Amino acid sequence: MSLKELIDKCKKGDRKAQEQLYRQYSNILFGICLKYSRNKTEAEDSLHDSFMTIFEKIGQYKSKGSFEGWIKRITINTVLQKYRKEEYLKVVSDNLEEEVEVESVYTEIGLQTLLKYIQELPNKYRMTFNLYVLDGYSHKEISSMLGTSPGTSKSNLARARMILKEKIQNKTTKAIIGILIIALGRNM
Amino acid sequence: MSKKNLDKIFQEKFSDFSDIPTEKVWKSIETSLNKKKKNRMLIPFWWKLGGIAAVLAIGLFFINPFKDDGNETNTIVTDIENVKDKQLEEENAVDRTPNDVTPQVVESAASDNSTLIDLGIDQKKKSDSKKTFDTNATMVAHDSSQKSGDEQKSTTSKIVISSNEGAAEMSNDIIKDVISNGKQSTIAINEPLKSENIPSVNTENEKNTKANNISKGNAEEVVAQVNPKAPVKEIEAGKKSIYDEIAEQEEEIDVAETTESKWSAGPIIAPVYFDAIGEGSPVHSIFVPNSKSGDVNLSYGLAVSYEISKKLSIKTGVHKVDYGYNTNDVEFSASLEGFGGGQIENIDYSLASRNIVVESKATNRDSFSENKALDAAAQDPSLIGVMAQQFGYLEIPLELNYTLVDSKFGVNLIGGLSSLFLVDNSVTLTSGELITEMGEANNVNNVNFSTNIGFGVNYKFSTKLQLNIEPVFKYQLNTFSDTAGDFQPFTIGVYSGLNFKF
Repeated sequence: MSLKELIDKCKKGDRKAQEQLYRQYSNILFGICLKYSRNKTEAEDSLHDSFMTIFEKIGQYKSKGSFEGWIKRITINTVLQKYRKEEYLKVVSDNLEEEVEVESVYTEIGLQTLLKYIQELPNKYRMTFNLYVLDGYSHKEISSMLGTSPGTSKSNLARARMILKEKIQNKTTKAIIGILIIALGRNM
Repeated sequence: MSKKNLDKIFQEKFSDFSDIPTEKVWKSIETSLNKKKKNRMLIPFWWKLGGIAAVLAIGLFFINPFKDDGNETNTIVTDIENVKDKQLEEENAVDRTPNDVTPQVVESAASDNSTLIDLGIDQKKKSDSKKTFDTNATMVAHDSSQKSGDEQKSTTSKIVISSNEGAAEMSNDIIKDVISNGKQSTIAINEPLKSENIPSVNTENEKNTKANNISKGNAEEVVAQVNPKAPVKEIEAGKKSIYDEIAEQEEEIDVAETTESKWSAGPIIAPVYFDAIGEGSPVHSIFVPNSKSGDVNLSYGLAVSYEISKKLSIKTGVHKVDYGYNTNDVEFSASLEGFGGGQIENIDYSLASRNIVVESKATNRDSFSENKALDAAAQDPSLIGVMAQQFGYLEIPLELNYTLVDSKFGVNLIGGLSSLFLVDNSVTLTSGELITEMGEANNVNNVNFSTNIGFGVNYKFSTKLQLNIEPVFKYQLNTFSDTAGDFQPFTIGVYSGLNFKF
């Protein structure tokens, strides 16, 4: 079944088509939910809400843009709204540190660890970091999505980067100390 | 040591990042979808119910009145018969003696055409019901009166008389009934008239053809109206005639008709105030803490009611009604990018408004003021205003009225249901003089129901016309498919209108 046929069937409320669409896109959308959420449970909640919105609004999809792009945007919006309900995403402006650099050794940190670091970020920083760094939105777009000013968005991003950098550095330091202890133990 | 950008680390790791959700996610989606489907199934069911109610109301409106009329005329006939039976002896007594008088009267009337017409006119003035003469009956009378033969003559005179009896709305069948039931009495009256009717008709027609002005039918009417005039003269002679009795009977019938008419209809107009119980928002959860205020709009339409019993009546109709309410302290700005990240799910944005971002000033206030204090450089390009939501409906109420007081001033209790069919739906933003059309709410149900309760005060100008004033509280059952928090809309309207009985 082509994507168009699948979408058309979903528009008619065909349950099998809906399940097929879910199977086809749930992994990638769950990835988005995991990045934007604080934990797996919340990510699954958001995935549920996103698919409900997708099935409800699929009639509005006019096949003009990429379908994957459309459902990704819905998912991001769903997660953003979820956290907007919890707290307002504005944050204090600060002196900006444009680029945070870390040494190449840190790149060895695993995906799950990095995901954990992102999930541990406060809501407003996590949203801004994800939107800007991982999903390529501009500060103008982010400010309109989060209801903040572009200045606030930049500030949120800088703080997110700082926190992530610290976490990565701590992790690396701990790792180096760990290796050293193991090496020393063997020599003795 | 070479340094790598932090962003790049994450971008590389998270490009095409995906993970497998647990199976329970699909199960819960499936359950939610089934629930939604059930809700949707409910709507056509209500549609059908609403449709049936409307068809019943319209059907009853068009069909039943005729049946009622039939019943009423039947009762009228029996009334007349009863009166006739009672008066049989009296009439016979009257008829025997003045038989010699009536031909003379008619003859003299026929010879003087001007007085004949005058009499006809007088007669018209005397009784409105005679204006609605059954022309068929008179035509029959006319045709048969031109024929020779005793039998035909007798039927002619019967019909003429029965039509003169004032039962203008009677059908031929009823006339026959009257004739057959009251044979003796009518014949007693008719026989002397018979001989006079025919020559009078003939002379009339001759004169009319000469004049070329008055139609045969008119002439016939005049003659027909003259006939009762002859016995009227009898009254002057001293005794009560059947026509007098019939005239009285007509009045009784009039009264009977007005009291027995069960249908009434009339225009209705009402200022309607819309508001909601609860602190929630149908638009979005971020507007929950905002203050909301209802709007007063106008409702107008047609109401039809049917009296089931003296105490109880059922009312329906069609009203056009607009509801509106405002969400205050709303902050909105236009973002340069068309992407709707900050857009509200429950609103389908209009093309021109896709880049509008709306948020609650009430929710932002704390953090906003803090930010302002700390961040003097922060610019806030947003406007503060009011978000107004408007809905237009076609309302079909089905209400029961229970009469508590029934006099010149009446008081009644009202209870029932309304089906509301969505016809207008809009959300606008207002800041000072700036009004922006935002789009339409997509969580407003197309069909919605309300439970109605109220009381009515009415003043009867006459038996046919009354003024109603009815304050009614209507609690909306399912205006919105999805609201944040508790938002239960209700309306209060003071419905006033005139009610015509027919």
